[in-house]
Amino acid sequence: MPHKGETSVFRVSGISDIEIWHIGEKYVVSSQNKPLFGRADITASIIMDNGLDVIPQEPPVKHANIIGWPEDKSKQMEMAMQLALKAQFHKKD
Amino acid sequence: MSVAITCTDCTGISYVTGKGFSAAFETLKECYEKVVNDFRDTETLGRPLHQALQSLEEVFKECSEDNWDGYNAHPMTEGAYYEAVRLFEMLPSPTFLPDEVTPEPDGSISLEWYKGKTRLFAISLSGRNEIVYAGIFGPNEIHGTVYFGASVPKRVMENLKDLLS
Repeated sequence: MPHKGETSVFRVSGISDIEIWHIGEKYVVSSQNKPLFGRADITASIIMDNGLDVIPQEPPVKHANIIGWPEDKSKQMEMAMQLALKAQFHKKD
Repeated sequence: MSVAITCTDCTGISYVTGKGFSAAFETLKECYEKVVNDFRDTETLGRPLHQALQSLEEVFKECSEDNWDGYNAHPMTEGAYYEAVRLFEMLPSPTFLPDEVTPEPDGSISLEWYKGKTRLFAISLSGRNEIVYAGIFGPNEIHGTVYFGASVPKRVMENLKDLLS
């Protein structure tokens, strides 16, 4: 779900699995001081097919925001569900 | 000896939501509430609700401060938390308790139900007496907002029954 119209993501295309988890540890776990349980991968094309957009927002490196969410929260929820269904979940070992 | 059986089409065992003014109404209300409380003391009905309320309270405590997510999230509002408690207590049976309780960065609380990979329903409570909902039921998608008053809105219950049937 977006916060203030944006959903924070990292662009992971072309980088290794180890590097992806490292991003999670470095930029997500450290800021929340909570354990990392998993991640959801989704292609930018799926996001754009759903009428949203992805724009780079660095720093940190490879950070981006999903934007273009509708104002209506119920519609946002429906779109977020659609993305969740199409995303691939990876559990942290 | 008794066996717990899942209730899939209960009419519900909730507190009195109607309003009355006579002494007879008060007497009947007290009797009915005693029955409800006795049901909630049972292992089958009471324990799952108690556990769900405990989980809800834990989420509330964890997310009651600014920036709980590291991305400048607003704290979960007391209004959202108590609305979720109220909804839990109004649900007709433990079968309808949500699978997930999720804090939202705008201070709301999200409750989610799943049935398989393509059937899911979620609501968002913000403490403003409204329920924002969305769901995917196979090829069908729904979303909307309904008033949350003295009982679980009909549309929400219908969707939950549809999902869980």
